[in-house]
Amino acid sequence: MALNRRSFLTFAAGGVAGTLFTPVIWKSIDDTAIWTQNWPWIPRLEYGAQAYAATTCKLCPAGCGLNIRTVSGRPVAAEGRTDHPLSQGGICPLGSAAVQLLYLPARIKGPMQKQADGTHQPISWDEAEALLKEKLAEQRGKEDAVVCVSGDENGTINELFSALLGGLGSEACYQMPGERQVASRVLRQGSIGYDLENADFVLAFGPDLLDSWGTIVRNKKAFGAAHPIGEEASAKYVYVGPMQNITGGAADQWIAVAPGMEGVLALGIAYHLLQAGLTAPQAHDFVSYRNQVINRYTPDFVERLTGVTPDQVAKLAEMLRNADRPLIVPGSSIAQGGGVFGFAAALSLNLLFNNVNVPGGIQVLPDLPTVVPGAQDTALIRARDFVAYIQSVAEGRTEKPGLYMVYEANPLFALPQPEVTALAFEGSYLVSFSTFYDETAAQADLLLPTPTFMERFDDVQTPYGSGFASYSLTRPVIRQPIFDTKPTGEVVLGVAKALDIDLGFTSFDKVLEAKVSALAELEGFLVESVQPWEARTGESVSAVSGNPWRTISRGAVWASIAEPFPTEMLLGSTIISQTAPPDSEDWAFPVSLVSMDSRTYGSRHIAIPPFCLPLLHEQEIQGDVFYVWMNSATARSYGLQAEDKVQLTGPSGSCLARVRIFEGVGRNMVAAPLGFGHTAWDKFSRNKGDNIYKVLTVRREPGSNLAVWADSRVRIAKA
Amino acid sequence: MCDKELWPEGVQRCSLKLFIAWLLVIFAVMAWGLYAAYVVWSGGLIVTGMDNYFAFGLYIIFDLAVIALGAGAFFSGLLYYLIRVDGLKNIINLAVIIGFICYSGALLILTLEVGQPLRAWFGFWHPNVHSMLTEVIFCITCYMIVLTIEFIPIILENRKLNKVKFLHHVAHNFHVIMPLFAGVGAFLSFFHQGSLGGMYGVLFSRPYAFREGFFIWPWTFFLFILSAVASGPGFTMLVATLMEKMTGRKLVDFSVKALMGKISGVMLAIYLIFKYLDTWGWYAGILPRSGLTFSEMFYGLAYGKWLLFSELIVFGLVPCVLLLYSKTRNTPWILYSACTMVGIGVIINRYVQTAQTLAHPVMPFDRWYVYVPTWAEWAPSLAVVAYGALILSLAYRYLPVFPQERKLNPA
Amino acid sequence: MVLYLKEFKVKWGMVIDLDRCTGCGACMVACQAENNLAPPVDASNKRYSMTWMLVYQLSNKQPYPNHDVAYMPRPCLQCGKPNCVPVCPVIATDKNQEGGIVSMVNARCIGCRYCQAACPYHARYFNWHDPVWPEGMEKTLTQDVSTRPRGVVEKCLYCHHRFMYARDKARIEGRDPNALAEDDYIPACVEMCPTNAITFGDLANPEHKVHKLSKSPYAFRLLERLNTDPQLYYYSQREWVRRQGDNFLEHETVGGV
Repeated sequence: MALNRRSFLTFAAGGVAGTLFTPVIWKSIDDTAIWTQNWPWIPRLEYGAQAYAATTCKLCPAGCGLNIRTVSGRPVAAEGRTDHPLSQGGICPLGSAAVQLLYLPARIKGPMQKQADGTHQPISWDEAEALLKEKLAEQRGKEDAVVCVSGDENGTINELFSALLGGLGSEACYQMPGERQVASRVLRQGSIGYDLENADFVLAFGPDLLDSWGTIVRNKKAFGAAHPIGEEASAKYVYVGPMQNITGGAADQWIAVAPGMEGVLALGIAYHLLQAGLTAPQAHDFVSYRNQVINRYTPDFVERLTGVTPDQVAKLAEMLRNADRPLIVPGSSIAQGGGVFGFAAALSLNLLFNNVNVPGGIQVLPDLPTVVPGAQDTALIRARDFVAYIQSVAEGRTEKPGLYMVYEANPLFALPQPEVTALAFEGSYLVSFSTFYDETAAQADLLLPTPTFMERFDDVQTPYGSGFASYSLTRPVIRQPIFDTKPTGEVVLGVAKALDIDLGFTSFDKVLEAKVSALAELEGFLVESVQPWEARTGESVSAVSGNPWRTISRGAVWASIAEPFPTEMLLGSTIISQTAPPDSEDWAFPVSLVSMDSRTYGSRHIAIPPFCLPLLHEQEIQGDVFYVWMNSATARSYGLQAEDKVQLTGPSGSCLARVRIFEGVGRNMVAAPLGFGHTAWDKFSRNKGDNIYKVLTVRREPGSNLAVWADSRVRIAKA
Repeated sequence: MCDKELWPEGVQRCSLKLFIAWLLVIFAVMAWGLYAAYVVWSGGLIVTGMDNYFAFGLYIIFDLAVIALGAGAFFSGLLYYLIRVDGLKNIINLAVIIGFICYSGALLILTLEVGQPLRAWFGFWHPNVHSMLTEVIFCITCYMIVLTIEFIPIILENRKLNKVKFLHHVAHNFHVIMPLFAGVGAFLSFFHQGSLGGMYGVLFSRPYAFREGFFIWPWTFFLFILSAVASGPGFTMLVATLMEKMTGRKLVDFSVKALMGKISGVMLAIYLIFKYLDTWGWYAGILPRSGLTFSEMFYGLAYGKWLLFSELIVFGLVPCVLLLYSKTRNTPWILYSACTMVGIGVIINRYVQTAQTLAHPVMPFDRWYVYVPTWAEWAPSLAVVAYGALILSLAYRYLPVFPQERKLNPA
Repeated sequence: MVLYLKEFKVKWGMVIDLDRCTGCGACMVACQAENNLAPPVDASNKRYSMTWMLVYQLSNKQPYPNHDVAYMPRPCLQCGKPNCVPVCPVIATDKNQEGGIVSMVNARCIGCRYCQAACPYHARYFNWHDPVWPEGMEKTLTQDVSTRPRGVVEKCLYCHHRFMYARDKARIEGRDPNALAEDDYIPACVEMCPTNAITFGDLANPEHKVHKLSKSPYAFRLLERLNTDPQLYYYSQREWVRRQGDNFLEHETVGGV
């Protein structure tokens, strides 16, 4: 049969009609329902045994407990740990995003060396460690030629660094700046703790308790517990600060104060308390303190400097006096760069209430014993002023060291005036132990990546702000590190051995084991059903028994509330008088810069994690431009409107941003978040916003000579 | 080369070259639309201006508008076949073709609009009987079949095809049963036009759109039907006029056009009465009950009060009056302008019902956003217009669409 | 329009204390990890970013220094009369399981987005593009919540898988899976909240804390006047916060004390 057009058409039509009577077409349609659920480019779930591993977070110094959920050994989610007194089941946004950091594109996959063209090329660990040894050996014996800066405030690893440096003839072991530096000017041995849980009135002069200061999650838990839903609050929180940050917003009351004048307000309150007859007979400088306060910090004077009305000041004093267990917390709103004056002034109020080492008061907490032979005293390292040192090197007043080692820190990004840090680093050999390709790693000559805290052993000793001494361990929750990384503790021990410096240990685990054993020197207990703050009010706890390493390495938390040593209490009248801010200000930069910190923005050494990006408000970042906040009156006076682009200029740098109108910022102030404007890292954080550290300005506080920058000032102009 | 033997008998058409050149223009626009479709299908709807606030955008607005304007098909069919308004026989073919274009075009756009086009058949297989959208899906699909059936005899009347005896008989028999399909079509159309309106009216959580109503049908159900039948006939008439202008030939007698205009005018008047009542009920009832004021429902230029004023007065009352007065209606330019205005009024209505409903921030701490369509939404929409031009061009050239053409254009 | 409604003996619900919420966003992060959301490279366009749990910032709109802020976490409100459910043409979302959680079956969803248009809370999110995980990060997917392709709508389900786990556990332990205790079943956001601002439980069970709290004069629901009957309450002792929970005409007063 010839196939003519007609029969072809008939055949085709018949074919189509016939197919409709077969299951082919219906089956195909039905199958689409399955295909559309199984596109090969969408990852599918992998099932397996689910388990939890208790560990301690090292992403910021707060030392929260984390429960890492794993499926077939893969970490999948970070959860809180109800058995950890520093977090009690809670978690902050950064800790919550921890697991995904394991696979952040910015992770450094193995040791690398900087090439002549500025790029980093992979090398083997053997080569890398040999190189480190060679570079250290070159500097051996020269005084302070090797500098180490650590962003880990609480780790025993700092002992290894200081012991290694000691062996090389250097004492230049530093910490990234924080509240501890300021606190150490007031209390030389041990650290100051705040028993928030037992206080019934918390007055915070600056510290952003609920977002970025100290033991953040624990602070929040205490705040939450004091404000039970549907019941009367058991403690009132009042925040004194220039802007309504997270703490200012959540607290029962926010007292708006001129930036940097928190201390003046504190003494203004002291004025009323002293007038009312409160004394601190145990402090032998009481008389001079009293004279100073009564003569200088009169209501009028305080109002002029702080902007707080005499009425309000009197009311605050009265609220304090009416409280049973008031607690006054000093600090800087960015937990760094504050001066001694504000700190000592606010702290002194506690003494007027005889509020030391009592429930709900400030606590003197011991430093845990050091275990690495040759390590420097913790208190000594803590008191050093790294920013002042960097400035001095950059200005040529101090000889430039031959080598910098940077651990869990990002000084080329997160120190005020990073260009000064760059100047100080220029020409020296830079070794970075960073897990991530941060701004410092990007400039480093040698990269020796340490694994994330989920892949290594580490520890957390009493975080700053805690109301009790504590110790807990960080341990690997994954069988194998994901990349070719090596725990820095092991690297330091290895290089020390190669340099014939005896650090007394063969592995970092052993250091930690020794640390745990050394805890026995102090009177402590393992936190089980009784929390440390409950123990402080008399609940009984049993002493540590059994094998402490075994329990602690499985997640148990050691705590101590024992008063470590008799402390001589001073109101600090000398330092307060020496560091008092001048009456009049003489600045070429008319606008106060109130910087903000938040765990949403990451931490000092961690850029904002991917999962935190959706947390940013529409007016925190748009595309690549971030926002600075000011109230409408300030904006008007500079001819600015919401969404306008604005240039912030400090004495040594400038930032570009958009204007967000936020009425919770005081007059003639601009509030700006820290942690934006990364230039290294990866697409999740790179080039987003600008780095406010560039416009922070370091000055020396008269009297204490401490480098301070929390009260920086800027010029603003429409851009 | 010539295609003259395919033309309807006794009419003149442009040269094949010119016709092909015209088709190329059409194909260019369609190619752009197809490219947009490819981008959407391969990469997702991220390329559109829609977002989590504007779940519906130009695709839906365009669909609603063409379905309203395509209502000329069912309403003319209803009037002609069932109510026997005889004058409509001269334009009924065109009305059917426009209906076919509008509905098939809308369905094409829908394949872009849904996120999972491969699952579109779930609408039939797993229908939710409570959803207005289910009603729309069923009615539109069924009506699409009806329109196809109505279109088939017109195609079969092509000079060449009609010579095939079988096809000739098919066409004839189709004509005989056409009143039945006209009836079915009218029934289906009433429901889906209404359900499209009902889709908004049932959004009791969106105070801009929410309306009470009759039994399960919110007032918007009826308003959408009325506004569609008010604008559809006029639109059909306008298309005929446009084709006349483009071809330079008289296709439909003016009396037929005026009749279409009159139908539009009457339906518009009925619509407006109810629309005004509805707007008042919304203003005085739904808004205060939701704690909202009239002013709070409008914002800036994109969602300003001027739209309401335009819809109800400038493109509502004014053309209504112009179409009801025989003097104005019988003046060609006024008739054309008035019908255009009615069309614009309906488009505004479909726009605000869609975009403004979604833009209004119901939560007091939320804010207004403005929806701006992207090229990936404009391109397929224009491509559907081009597709319509393609169908109309082919139909005009090869099918006896206009019974009056020979008489009106003596050789 | 109430033909489809079912009454439930158990109504899982939240009471969120807005006086205690500091707006830190830990709940949002916990939610993303728990429910396998892809990490966004840019989340600054709020109309595209996916946040089943979203914290809104509220302002009393007073000038400095009388300004006050509040933070309002907004998961899906699991309305008693959800507008999103009756509009779905394919029953991809439903409210028919004991407990009253509004379900969302992504594999059924055709992506028409009508439910999004219906939700005044913006609790529903559409996948405008395929989710992308950086190399290796897909290993952090949990085994509880399927990944979603582009073109479907998704939303908070009060961590429904945790509900299922809790029921299984109760069965194994020989308890009644339909009478779970307060702590048996807790969504991720509730569990992680550092200030314990969210209380979770069965609103219909007088033994659960939420039951009593939801009846407090300080408790209110978002857009209550629309009659969506949410299974989620907010709580604030601040009048201005409660006032932002709904639209009010000038002369109208807000409930509470």
